[in-house]
Amino acid sequence: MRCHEVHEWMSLRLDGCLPAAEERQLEAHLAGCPACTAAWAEWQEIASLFEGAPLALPPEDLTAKVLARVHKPRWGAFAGSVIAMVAGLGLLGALLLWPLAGACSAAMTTAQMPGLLGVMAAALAQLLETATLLAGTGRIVLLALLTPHSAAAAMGYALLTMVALMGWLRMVSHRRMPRRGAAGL
Amino acid sequence: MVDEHLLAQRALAGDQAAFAELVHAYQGPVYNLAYRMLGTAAEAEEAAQETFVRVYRRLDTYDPQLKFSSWILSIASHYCVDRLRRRRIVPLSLEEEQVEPREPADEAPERRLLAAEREQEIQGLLAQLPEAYRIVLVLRYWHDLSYQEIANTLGTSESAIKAKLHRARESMAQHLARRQATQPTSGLERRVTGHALPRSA
Repeated sequence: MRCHEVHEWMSLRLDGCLPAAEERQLEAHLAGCPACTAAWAEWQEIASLFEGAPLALPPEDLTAKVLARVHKPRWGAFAGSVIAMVAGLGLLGALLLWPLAGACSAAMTTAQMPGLLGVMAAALAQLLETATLLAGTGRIVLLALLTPHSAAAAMGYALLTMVALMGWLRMVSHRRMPRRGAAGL
Repeated sequence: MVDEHLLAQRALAGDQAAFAELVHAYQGPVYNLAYRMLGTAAEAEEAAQETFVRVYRRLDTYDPQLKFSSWILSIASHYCVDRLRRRRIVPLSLEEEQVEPREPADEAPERRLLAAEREQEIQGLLAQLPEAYRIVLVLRYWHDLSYQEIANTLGTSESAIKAKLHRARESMAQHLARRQATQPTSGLERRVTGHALPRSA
């Protein structure tokens, strides 16, 4: 039996997990091997040092600190959501208001012209012009997207957006607000 | 005896008193594990707090088939091991602030001195071990877990735990032998060579 194997058995013996047959072989080896006998004495000393070690006691206010941390409102996450919502609405508003601004401006101008029919006709004409412009823009964008390179870029962009959205949703779901129950502290 | 599963269920349903009871019941074991792993009182407190915050956020993932203590110690163990891995470039120094486990105030000064010496010896031995060995020793000696329970807690096999315990003990013995060569009269060696200091109960 090699000394290395004996050391493995010594470890098991310290934990009370060495079968009786191996324990007898270990004893026999120790009786004839001064190096392993010395090692065994040292291992036992180390084990007794650890077995007698007390539990380190936590500070008395640990529970209170933990409860304060888990039950405080998560203003950071809330503020982040509000900022994201405002930014999203702002972007959407800017996109929608841009074409409408022209129509509104035309309506204001035509409202100052004499005659209701003239005003309505001018407003309608302006609206039609805006709609035509939007349709033309949409057509150009669609055609641009249908070219092979643009389609790939658009798909990549869509994919990236989806990944970012999923990441955000995952982050938000992990940092959910603590549930409030009937019982309080 | 407190029904941990019931407390966990109540805490999951939002019962703050139930969660407070769980924290109170496990603060000792969790803090001790963190202290033995990280070596300083400040880091141990921070780690214990973070462990309980994680427990709170993950209550819905708790599997009642497992012992609650194993689950909570598993979270604490993984957190401490990760933390040690992150700071590997700055190894624990015995010169850092260390606070010995609190002893009763009426303890005799010489007993306190011996306890402090033992404590320093233990933390010194733990500090030179890789974190994977250290956590196995801590769970074995302070939390009295079996090989199988340690394996479940750390998500590994029983044979891996046996091997790590064996290597940890071998490493500590070698560390002591090296130290004995340079400081032949340090604490544990005095005990080994027969000038034993009294052991605390």
